[in-house]
Amino acid sequence: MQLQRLLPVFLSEADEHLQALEEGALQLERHGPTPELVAGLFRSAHTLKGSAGALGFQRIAKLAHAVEEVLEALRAGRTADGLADLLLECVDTLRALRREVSDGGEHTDVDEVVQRLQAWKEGGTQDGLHPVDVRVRLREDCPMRAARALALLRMLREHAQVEQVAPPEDAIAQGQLELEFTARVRARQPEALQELLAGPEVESVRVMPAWEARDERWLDLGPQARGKLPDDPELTRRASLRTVRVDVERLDRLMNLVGELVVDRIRFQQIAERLRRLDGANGLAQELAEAAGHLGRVASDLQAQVLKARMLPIEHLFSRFPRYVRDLAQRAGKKVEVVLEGQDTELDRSVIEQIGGPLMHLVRNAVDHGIEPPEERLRLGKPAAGRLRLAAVQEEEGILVVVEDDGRGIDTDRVREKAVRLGLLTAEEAARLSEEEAVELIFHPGLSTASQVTDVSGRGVGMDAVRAGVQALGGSVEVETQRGRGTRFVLRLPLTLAIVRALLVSCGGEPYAIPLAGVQEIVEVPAERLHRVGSYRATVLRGNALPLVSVHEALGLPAPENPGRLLCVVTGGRRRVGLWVDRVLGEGEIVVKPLGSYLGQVDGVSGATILGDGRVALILDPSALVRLALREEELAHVG
Amino acid sequence: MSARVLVVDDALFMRAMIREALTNSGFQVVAEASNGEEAVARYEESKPDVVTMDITMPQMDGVQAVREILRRDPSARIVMVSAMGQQALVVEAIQAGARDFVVKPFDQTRLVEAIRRALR
Repeated sequence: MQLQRLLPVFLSEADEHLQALEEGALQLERHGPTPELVAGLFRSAHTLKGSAGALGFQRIAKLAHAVEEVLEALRAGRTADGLADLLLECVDTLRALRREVSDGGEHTDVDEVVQRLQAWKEGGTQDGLHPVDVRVRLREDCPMRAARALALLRMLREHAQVEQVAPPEDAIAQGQLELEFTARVRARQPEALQELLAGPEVESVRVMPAWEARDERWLDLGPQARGKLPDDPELTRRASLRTVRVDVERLDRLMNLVGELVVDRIRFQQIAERLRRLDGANGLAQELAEAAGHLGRVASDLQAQVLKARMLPIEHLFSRFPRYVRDLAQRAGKKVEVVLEGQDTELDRSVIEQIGGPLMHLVRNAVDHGIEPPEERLRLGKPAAGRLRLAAVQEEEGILVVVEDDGRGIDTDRVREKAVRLGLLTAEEAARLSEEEAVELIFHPGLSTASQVTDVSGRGVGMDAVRAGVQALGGSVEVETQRGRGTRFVLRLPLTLAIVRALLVSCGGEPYAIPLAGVQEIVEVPAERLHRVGSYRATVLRGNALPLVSVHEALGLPAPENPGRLLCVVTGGRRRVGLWVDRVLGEGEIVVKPLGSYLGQVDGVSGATILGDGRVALILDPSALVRLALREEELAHVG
Repeated sequence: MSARVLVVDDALFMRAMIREALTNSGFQVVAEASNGEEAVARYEESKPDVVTMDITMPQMDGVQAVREILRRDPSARIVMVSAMGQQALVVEAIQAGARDFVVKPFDQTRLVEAIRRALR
């Protein structure tokens, strides 16, 4: 069914238009109604209305239509008071309607908001002038139509402010006029215009409220009304043909296939190497090596291209924050200005999907706990509006995302006090902590410094979840804070999750990969340094106890005959454990493949990869290993 | 008080016809001119409420005269009297500031109406 196939296109387009409307509403609130802005908003509403109507989503079409009319009234001179709120409400309602399209149901009421839109249109104009469209139709036998039209416009100018004319006056002067022209004017007494323009050459004069006359011709009225619409329809058409929408699943599959290709390339190279050793400088081996080399270059290029295709600008994530912060700030009675930087920095879509939660949490904390209420800020000599900066920068190895506020900073005394109260530390221990260490306490599970529960931040879901979330991606979170000056969180994120740098190790004869981000060091531990308490083993590394675990214990596999003597120190969160390995096979980039559905989710394993020799290696998840090991440790304590 | 009119046309016959039409309708023709230069001079002297302006005239044509008069008096009210096929010139005159126009041959009511509209 045709429409069924179009539905996903409609939905994703609708999301874009809703996003554009939301951003536009926020800009409207901040900068007022510039012609470009209003034209952009209008186009979004217009397109949404069109496609919703075509697919039979009447309620979306109805609301979009009402939004269009309101924008037309705005363009015609209605003051913008209260419109941003109203538009944001429309966006919310439209989003709810859009969800109903994908999830079913018809519960959202549009009539109420449509009525309010209509009521808004009738509201005030700045100067007591009423925006109207005057449509004049000349008689068939009118001589010198162009001159007549211009004379009528000349007269209209004596009694009203003429803002736009369609067709434009230049075009009329050059004879591009059939019988009708329309002028958008603002007049004190619109009723009087009809009589003014009537005459023997005039067939009819219609005077109507500007939003009723809504007419697509206005979309193309000249540069200031046209906004960013490209001039050349041909150009627009070509531009839209240059991009295609691809299902992300296809990209994932493509990535997977490229991964296999990379593996094959390595195999080819190894075969070529062996052949070369077998028959020395024989030409055939050399040729194979060259072909494998070429295959290798093509495969890496292909891999890079596919990786690129999976990238999205972080804007996709950032763009939701202005609205989010506005709502949070409004509820908390604060003023917050959001500054976005580096929005076009690109990240793999899987990373973008997964840092949304942590970022939201940081932003919420900043608004709720960081930025002071306006009165307090003024008292402190700060501007009433707090500043929340979200920035993304690409570095060599990955992406830095910064969440920074200019609020009160983290109160380390209170953090210490709370840690003591919760029994995490003794008072002496807390006092001994350096400032940095005290700040680090905020990442401790269950510690939140908000002295009150608010509906914004709640209590307890803390920074530990943020850090764990980012670390699960192979990233890290750092915090800098200055009392009274603000707090900055820096998230280091990998560019992609599809390829990671990993340490390849062998345990019990099986290869495993451990993402390098989770590996701290490899140490050799002599037997006498091993301690055993029941089933709980540990060693002491530079003065600190290090719990030990073997892959087999963690994954519940039978123990190998010769446990290794190398310890790979892996970290997850603030904790670390020593993982027994037999030997280190090497280090390199591996292509992460999800475990097949027949294996399902295995705790401690995040995926699998195919090694150059064709063997499959499980990819260990450092933070899960730490969790598993420490759970065992606790059990051992109990036993 | 009836409105005072300056009639500009190089043809004596046209001037007479316009004068008659206007007088019949209660206007007062205070001056006449047969070319643009003269029109500007008469306008200065008589300060009429409205001008009827022919387009094709010797010395200075009607469009130039419109510009010249409006340069001296931006509130001047001028109605063009044009022959058929002169639309481009009429457009030019209106863009220069003329208020209305009639196309020859016209009946009297058209002319009177155009002048009334220009005076509004």
